[in-house]
Amino acid sequence: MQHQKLALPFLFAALAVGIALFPLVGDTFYIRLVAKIVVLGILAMSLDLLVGYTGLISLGHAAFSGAAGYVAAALINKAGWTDLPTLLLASLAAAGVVALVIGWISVRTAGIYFIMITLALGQMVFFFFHDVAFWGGADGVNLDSKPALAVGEATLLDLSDRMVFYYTALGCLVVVYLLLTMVLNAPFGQVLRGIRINEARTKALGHDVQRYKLAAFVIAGLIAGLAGFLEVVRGGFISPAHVNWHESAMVLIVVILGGMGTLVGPVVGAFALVLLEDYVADLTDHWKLVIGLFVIGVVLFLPDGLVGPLKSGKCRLPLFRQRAKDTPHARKQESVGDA
Amino acid sequence: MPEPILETRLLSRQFGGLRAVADASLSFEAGVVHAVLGPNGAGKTTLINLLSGDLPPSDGMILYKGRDITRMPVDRRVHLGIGRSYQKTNIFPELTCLENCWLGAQARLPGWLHLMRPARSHASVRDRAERALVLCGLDHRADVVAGTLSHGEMRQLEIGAMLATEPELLLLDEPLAGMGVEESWRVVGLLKRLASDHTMILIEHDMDAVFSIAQRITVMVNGTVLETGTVDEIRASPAVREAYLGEEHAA
Repeated sequence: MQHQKLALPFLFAALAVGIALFPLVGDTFYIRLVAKIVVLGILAMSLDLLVGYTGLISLGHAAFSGAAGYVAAALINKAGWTDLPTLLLASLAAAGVVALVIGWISVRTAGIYFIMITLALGQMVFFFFHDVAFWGGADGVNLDSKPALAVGEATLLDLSDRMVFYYTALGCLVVVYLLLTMVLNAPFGQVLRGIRINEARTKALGHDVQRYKLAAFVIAGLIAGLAGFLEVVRGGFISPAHVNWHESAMVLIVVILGGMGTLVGPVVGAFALVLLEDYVADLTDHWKLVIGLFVIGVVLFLPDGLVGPLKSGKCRLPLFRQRAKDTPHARKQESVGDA
Repeated sequence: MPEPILETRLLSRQFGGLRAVADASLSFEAGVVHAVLGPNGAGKTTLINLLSGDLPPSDGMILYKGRDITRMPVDRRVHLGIGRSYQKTNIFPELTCLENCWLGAQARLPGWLHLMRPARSHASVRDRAERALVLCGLDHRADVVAGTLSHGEMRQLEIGAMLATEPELLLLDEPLAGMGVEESWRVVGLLKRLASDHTMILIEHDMDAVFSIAQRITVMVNGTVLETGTVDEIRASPAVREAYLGEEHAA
């Protein structure tokens, strides 16, 4: 039991050390690819707070990262800002406000309606950036320059340098992981877990569940904003595709693929999806089909995702999964219900 | 007459064309165990749901210690000291017994956005959760996952989670539902212990249990209050006999 609890944090530590050491051996192409994976990992971890820990399946997560990216791009290109802290704060504020508004509306619904309303509101954000000419239209915009952190004359952090960006992104990944671990271990996280397992009872035990769900939504939105900011700086480019629901669905797949409710799982999922995409796209034109089959295979044979076996020891054939529901507890509950 | 802790005035709840509770005006005294009886469909569970805030009333008023709580949501009523248990076991099956009580105990932390300190380090919460476990008789099962408990133990935990919120007024919806004889008496013993320092509103089908715990009884039929009185008054009432007790005893 104790060993199992430590397995996931240990996996994250190993991943972080591996990423930190990778530039010593990897070539430029793969260093870029790992930077992309790290940013996607941050975005997926933020979604895991909602999907895996609170039980809120959001299909509009790209709205937060996209809004942050667009605000950063506009401030760099139109206002000529390059100061890293102010740009980052402005991006986070944009993502936070969008998350607050979308969250405030959507936490009033549950289940399939929650999925649909986050999808609908996310698409409204997409069309806002797509249709309003100020943001650069359907083709997107290239960044004129990249943010840097300077104190006086000395430049401390220049994100246009590939290696500086690489380690900044890795630092963000580690900080986000520690931050989410802290929040989940705090009383706040205990209530989120209660909401996921039994929302009505959590409310009946004195917790204002809507307020907790909204807070989780805003925290996830802020972290997604950080990922969106890093993504636009990394690629030097943003387009409506970054805000589209395809992006939201892709992040959701990354979370499910890696393992919901594990934090490290989404990072593993990001590695799996991006590396597989890179590998398969070279082999065949039908690479999306291969990836689809891979996702289906994982969902069928590793019900808790790629890191699932570390968490629960579960790695089953689909035939056996049905049985899990038919436990004595479930049966007893049914027979007692009408008493 | 002593101050009522909870009062309803012409309380009603409608489901479509059905009036599940109709113009119920009741008064519950502090420190008293007050049972609500009635045949199936009399509106007892709906009444508890209205009192706890799980359901909003269609009409009427609820006063707690003289304060209007008619529109107050269930989570805020918990903070006033109203706790409830459910007829259908409603716990967190994936969590341990202690963690189940923990969530209740945590409701009494001042404020709500506790993001930094680990939950385990909040000693006051731990104390409350452990006290509730001792009270409901599950302290020896603290680290057992709730989903693996026996039915009787789950019913005890159902009450324990509520007790962890440190309520003054307990709303108990059939705490003995589906229990064997021995389990029943264990929970009846628990209820008697709780009766010494809590006010209770109790729905229960087990007549022996009701007559041994309750001091006052309200009988409901078809959503309306038929009669309220002491145990002896209710036993002697011809109207109650006809409407409810008679058929129940004959069965």
